Amino acid sequence: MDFTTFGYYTWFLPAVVVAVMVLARHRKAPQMGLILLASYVFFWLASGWHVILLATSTCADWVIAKRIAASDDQKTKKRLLIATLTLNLGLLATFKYLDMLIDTYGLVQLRADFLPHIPRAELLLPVGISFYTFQTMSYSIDVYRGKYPPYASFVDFAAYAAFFPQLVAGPIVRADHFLEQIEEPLTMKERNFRLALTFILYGLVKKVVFADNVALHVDAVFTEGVDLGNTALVWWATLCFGIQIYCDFSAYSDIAIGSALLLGIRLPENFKTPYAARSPQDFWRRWHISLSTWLRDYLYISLGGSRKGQRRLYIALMTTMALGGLWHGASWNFVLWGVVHGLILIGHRLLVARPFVQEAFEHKRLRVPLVVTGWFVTQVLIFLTWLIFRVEDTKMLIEAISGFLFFQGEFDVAAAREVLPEVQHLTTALVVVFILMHGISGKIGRLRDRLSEGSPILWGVFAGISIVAMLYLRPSVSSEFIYFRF
Amino acid sequence: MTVERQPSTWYVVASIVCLFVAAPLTHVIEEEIVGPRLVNGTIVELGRYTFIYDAVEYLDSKSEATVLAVGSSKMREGFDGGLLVKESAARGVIYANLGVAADVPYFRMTNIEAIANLQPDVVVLELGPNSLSALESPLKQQDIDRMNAMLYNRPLNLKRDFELYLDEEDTPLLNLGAKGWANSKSDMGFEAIDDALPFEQAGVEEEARWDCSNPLSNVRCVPSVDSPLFPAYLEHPPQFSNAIEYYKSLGSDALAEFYGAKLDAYLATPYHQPEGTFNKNEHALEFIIDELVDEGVNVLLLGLPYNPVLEERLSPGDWDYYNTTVERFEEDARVHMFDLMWDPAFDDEALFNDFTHMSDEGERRLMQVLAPEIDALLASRGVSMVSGHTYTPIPTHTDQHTIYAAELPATGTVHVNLSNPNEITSGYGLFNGHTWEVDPQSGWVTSTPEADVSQNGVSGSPQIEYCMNSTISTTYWVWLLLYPSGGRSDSVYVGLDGELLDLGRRGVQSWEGAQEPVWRSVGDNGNRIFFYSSGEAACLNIWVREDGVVIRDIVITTDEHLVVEA
Repeated sequence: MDFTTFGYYTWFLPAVVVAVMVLARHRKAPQMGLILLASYVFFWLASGWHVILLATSTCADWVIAKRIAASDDQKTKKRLLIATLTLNLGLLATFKYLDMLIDTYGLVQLRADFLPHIPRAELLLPVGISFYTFQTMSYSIDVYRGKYPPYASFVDFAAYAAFFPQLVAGPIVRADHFLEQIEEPLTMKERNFRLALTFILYGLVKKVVFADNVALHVDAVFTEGVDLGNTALVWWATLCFGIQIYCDFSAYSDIAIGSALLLGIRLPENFKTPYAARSPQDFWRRWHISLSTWLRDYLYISLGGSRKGQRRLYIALMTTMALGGLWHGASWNFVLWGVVHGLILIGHRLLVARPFVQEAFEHKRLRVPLVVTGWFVTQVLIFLTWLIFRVEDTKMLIEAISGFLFFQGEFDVAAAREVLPEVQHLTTALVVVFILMHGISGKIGRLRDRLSEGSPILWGVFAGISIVAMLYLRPSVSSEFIYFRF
Repeated sequence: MTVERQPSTWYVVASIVCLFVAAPLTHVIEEEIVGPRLVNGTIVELGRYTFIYDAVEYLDSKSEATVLAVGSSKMREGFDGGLLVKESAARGVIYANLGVAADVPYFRMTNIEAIANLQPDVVVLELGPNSLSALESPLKQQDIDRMNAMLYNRPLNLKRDFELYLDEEDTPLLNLGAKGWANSKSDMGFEAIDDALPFEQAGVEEEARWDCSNPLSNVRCVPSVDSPLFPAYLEHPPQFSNAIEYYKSLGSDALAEFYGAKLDAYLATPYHQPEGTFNKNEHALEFIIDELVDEGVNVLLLGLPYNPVLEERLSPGDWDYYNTTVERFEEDARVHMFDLMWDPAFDDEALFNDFTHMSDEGERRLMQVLAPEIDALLASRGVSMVSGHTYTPIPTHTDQHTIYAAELPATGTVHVNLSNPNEITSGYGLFNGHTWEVDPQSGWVTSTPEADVSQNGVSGSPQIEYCMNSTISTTYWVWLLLYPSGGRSDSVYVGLDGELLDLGRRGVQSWEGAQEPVWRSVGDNGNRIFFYSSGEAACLNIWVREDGVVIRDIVITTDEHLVVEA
């Protein structure tokens, strides 16, 4: 089951909301018990026996965090923390990265055939493992750091770790943020109900209408790697992929936030119009915010952050970005993607530290052109890195980057159209609409909140258009959420 | 804004606005964008699939007695409601042609409930080899598309009993249930809107694309149910062009290829072969009959005729299962079986546009044959008939061939006259496009071209047929004067009434060591060439085995010991 499953909206979510908000009304313990039960059912339907891994991670962090809090000995606390980090990262390493390590070893073995052959483990990647292990780890780290005491109730903690709206693909929620909201019995605020519906509808349109449609064009180009020397085609496919990954991932976050709101819990927002970012740093404040803040708080700062000099900062930044890239998937592509982002961030820091740049920004006349240039360069770089994210095959990636940078000198729109799926006008229209909407959203901000708080007429128009769009503009081939595999 | 104070008002207003936005938007998309593209074939090839529910809607508003023709393109091209009105004695009847290209019972199941609910007086239901053909599991994508197109405009209250007859592997691919309904909308809307966008941009009048008033309109063009053209379309949709005439206009080579490789390829597809087992098409056919009968509809199961050249090309046993099925339905009290597949009244190539679809002349013949049958069923339902109505007499095979190649004698010998081949063989269409050629002066029949090509077996082989009239039952011995025109061994296969005679693997030889005519009365295995007449007309078939052979003469005798010499 996932958020594109019909049953999620026709029975699962309504049943859970009714059970929690009506049957267990004003009684916190049964409410949390029901959420826990629903979360495990959801996970079972999404990932089967992997539910055991979730339970293992939950129980281990529950016990260890309690012991960390109970211990007065700093060494014991540290040992316990290392134990839980080892367990969680071990789960991740085994189920997510083992085959990647074996493949890498295999490359070495090709050159050193005296080394024994190790077959791939071919373990099925448990859904959402990157998300829930990060959540439970952050809980143990925070308890270790004394940021807050451990949860008093196991059910509350287990419900936090397994909370179904964000279990599979985030946003990554901090334990204190969740705990704050479940201290009192969960209640449905009428305003939140409207906002929840808006979030869900918004997310569905983004996924079903935008992401799935442009995905057809992306796949047509990057799956087989056809005509990657044609800059027109590579630009178009890269633009489409940028839209796809944003609409796909942010749609999941929107639906997660909406679903959680229906249960009286507000999850943090994960995206803030990232393609309006004017600098690489700005992009990471807008893209997958819950992950970037997690990496900042638990990795970048732990590595010294900006407190120990420029050199250490760059090392910390590069390490954080490389590991952040690796978090996305068991492929060196993702590491490369993170490294390139790290380099871009460092380059940006170096650039803005230059006096002439600072002086240029102080000129009123230059400010607008500089901002526009900053936006344009940032976006070109962001979209270029999407190629690394999407094209796994090294040879194809080099061709695609070469095409993107116009190294082949070919810009043939007619040839590009031959490669793309038959449905082109609609996709072009959707890309234009997306760009306009993203621009408006970036300019105005909080569109969903404004919509749900505003006139019912406006909301009705939005809902009517959304429903008709989902009915008629959904391609017959629907894609799985991209972040499901992370 | 008083949202917090009056939340219910907010939801009511929002819901109403949502409805007021979604409903007209949906209507515009359906009526202006998806609908026309469905019926003109932009989205689904052969768009007529989706027209069925339009027809049902139109007919539902009529109070007259109704006769519906349901079947494949063969029905679509063969059934002319306008002609039936003229041929029939019944009055006040609407005849509607609901034939859909490539349709088979399994696909048709989806909309038969809507047709049955109309409670038409008679449904003329096609039964052909295609109705009994094998279907893959799961269905091919184009077949899934056809079924989904049929399901597109389905009424929301569809009973869906047909789902019981669906193959397990097909069910998930079909747009069934509420989710299927939504899928159906997106499947069609997606492409239709994409197609519509450039027209909107260019400001082109889209309607011009599916103006069905033009007689040269694409056969896929279906007028809107609201169009004044719709009733005429329903009665008789635009027809395919005449492929046979076209190939004839290109010359004998083109026609030879049409009746050669093209026909072989046509017959080779499973669509034209009965599978020979009670398959999912037959399950569906039973379901369809039951659905119609349950609603009190008279079902006339019609075996439509095919081009005789195609029928002749069939190998022995090819369509036996069809014949068996027809016999089964002849015993079935639920239906009125009317098989015209082998009817001599249709043994004329001119009645067809191609291998299977009827020409204008064919349609006329079919309606003349069908009118009395339909009238009988209508009369049994109390539909008023014109008294003293005279049906157009049907020319029969016998009528056509009053001039036989020979009148077989009770005793003695007869010389089959080859000098007038058109009269001998007319009505069978066996010459046209084949590699037998007739010398108009001598009457000699030559297998051309001489390319040293031979084959074992009669399947696909050019055939010539001489029919002879007989009034007594006796054995006739056959002598053939053959000539090896190329100076090498040439041979023929010989048969009677389409059945190959046992004359050995190499048939009857024309070569006896020299390039000169030779009289032959035995086959390669030494068996005599003979047949037993039961006192009816008998047709001698001669197939080319090795090309180049010339038939100069045929002698048929009751004298077993007669030796015919040059």
